[in-house]
Amino acid sequence: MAPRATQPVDAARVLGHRHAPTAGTGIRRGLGALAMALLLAATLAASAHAASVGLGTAESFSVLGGSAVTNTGPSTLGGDLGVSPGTAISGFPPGTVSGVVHANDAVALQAQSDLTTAYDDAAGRSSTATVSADLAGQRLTSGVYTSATSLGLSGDLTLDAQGDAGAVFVFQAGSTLTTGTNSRVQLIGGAQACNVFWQVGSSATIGTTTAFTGNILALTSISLKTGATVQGRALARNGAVTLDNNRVTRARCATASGTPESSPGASDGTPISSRSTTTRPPVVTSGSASAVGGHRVRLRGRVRSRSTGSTYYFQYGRTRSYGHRTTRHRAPRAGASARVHGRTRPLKAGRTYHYRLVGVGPGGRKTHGADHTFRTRGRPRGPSSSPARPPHTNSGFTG
Amino acid sequence: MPSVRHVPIRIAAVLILGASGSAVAAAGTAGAAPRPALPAVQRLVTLERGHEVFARPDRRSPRRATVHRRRPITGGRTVLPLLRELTAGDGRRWLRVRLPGRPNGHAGWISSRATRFGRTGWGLLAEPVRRRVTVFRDGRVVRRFRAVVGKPSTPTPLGHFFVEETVKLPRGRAGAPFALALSARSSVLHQFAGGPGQIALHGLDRVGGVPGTAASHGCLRLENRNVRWLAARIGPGVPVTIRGRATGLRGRAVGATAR
Repeated sequence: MAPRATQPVDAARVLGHRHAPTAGTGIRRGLGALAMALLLAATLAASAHAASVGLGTAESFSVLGGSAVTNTGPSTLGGDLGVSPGTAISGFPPGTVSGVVHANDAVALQAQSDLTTAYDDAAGRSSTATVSADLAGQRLTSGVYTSATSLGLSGDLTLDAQGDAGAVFVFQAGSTLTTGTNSRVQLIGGAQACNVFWQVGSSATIGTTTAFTGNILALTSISLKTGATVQGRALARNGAVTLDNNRVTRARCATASGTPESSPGASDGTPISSRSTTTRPPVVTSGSASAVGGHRVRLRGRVRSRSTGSTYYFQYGRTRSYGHRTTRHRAPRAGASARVHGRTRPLKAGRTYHYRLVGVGPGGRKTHGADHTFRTRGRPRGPSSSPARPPHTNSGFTG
Repeated sequence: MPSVRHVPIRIAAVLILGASGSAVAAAGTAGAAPRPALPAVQRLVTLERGHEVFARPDRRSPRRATVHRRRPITGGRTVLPLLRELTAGDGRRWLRVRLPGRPNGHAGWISSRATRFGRTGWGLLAEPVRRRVTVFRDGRVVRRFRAVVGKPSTPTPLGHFFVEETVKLPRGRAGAPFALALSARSSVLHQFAGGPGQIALHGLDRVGGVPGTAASHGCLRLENRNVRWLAARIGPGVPVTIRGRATGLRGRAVGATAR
């Protein structure tokens, strides 16, 4: 293959001008150069916001601890749960993990390594502004905000991306991060929870029922008080992560165009939910039960997706506690609506069952359809049916 | 406790029982029945998953035990008698339930999550001192059986218990054809035949014994036809009260009279 001759590339060529030089060529070349300069300036402006902090393999984790992870109550984690170099994970169940549990395995070890890199990255960024110890009532645009000592939040903090979905917010706390009861971190202007980072020099304490947003990268420990929610991650390098009836929804950035889907109130700067719109769960409506037999039934419903990657399933059981569920299926693409159905496992004849449709967003948030009931055909087993069952073991009684 | 006025009537009833076999229908005997130590209807809780048991209706209180979703012998669902329920200040519902195993008759608090409620009108009253088991349904006596009870060195433990699981024992197994495994454990034998010293109402296959005597290791042995009748009706969670002295002179006298 013959080598291709290289030619100098000028702005006019880039802009598609291939004509032979004419009288107006000089003027056109000048205009082309100007256009090129404007294009370059626009490109630079678009990338003016700081790069996000790369979490590496720690990105798949909702909660990552150094020494231990302890949970009380029915906490829900939207991603993986891990600990390293410690091994202790307790309280799951009653806590539930949507992802995988890694107790000091190779995955957790690598995630801790990547967390250290991310922590150093966040801590090493040059400060945009120094902030007061209490962030309550402030409205901040993208940047790196520093407090030499501790950071606190006793009310609402608003982070405004000003229409830039890639806007990054980094908070550097010299020592602790503490939020008060019912505090909130709100996102507006297209800001995404995945681009908010809290680098904490020692320990973070998220107060009772706080609605917190962002990825907490703590050197020591993280404690989520009763009922606190985190749209982001709780990642501790050396110490423990303590949970108490919390919901930690792993925040992921919008894919496709990189712009979160529009949401009422977002464009005009009105505060919206602190949760990213890209993880909104689908709208679900429980439908009727069809093909009701003595032992099987088909459950119907409707799902309208608001985010890509949503799923749905039906819960069913003898009471409103349900206890059983159908296979989980992928919901239609974002913005689409579809009729769905699910099949139960064998049921008891002649019994009343409750069911409802459940939608799950990409971040693990759920929506529930209304509770409905159906009754299986046939007669229930009478009292003459023995409740006795054969033994599985050979162990005996005292005799 | 039975009143003195009723004792002769009860002895007479026992005599009739002894003469007519081992069981008697409820009709006409309600007046002679001992004061029920059992609720007419017992509320039950079926566990949909394993539960931590707390000392108080508070997750920060000491954890007493873990109750698994399934029972160890048959793999059937765990069904526990519900003693009390309340809603805590944070809105969580708590259930006080009777628990299986040692210490005998203990209870604790579990969360109401992943539980299913039920009820039963059945109940069993065992009286080792009288060597008999009385079956109640909706507060009325339905049957009464003579039983082999624990001998003095291995007495049948007293207290409030429940049926953990109803076991269909294969032919040839000790205690066949059926066993109603109770939440009670022997106060003397901490292990027996590979088990935890669990007390049961069971049949006579390969263990023998004469109903109305105190000869067992703590279990209540019933004639096979009687335990078959029970196993067809009594499921997990049914309350069982064992009351009176475990063994004693009075009980021996009554038993002898009945025989």
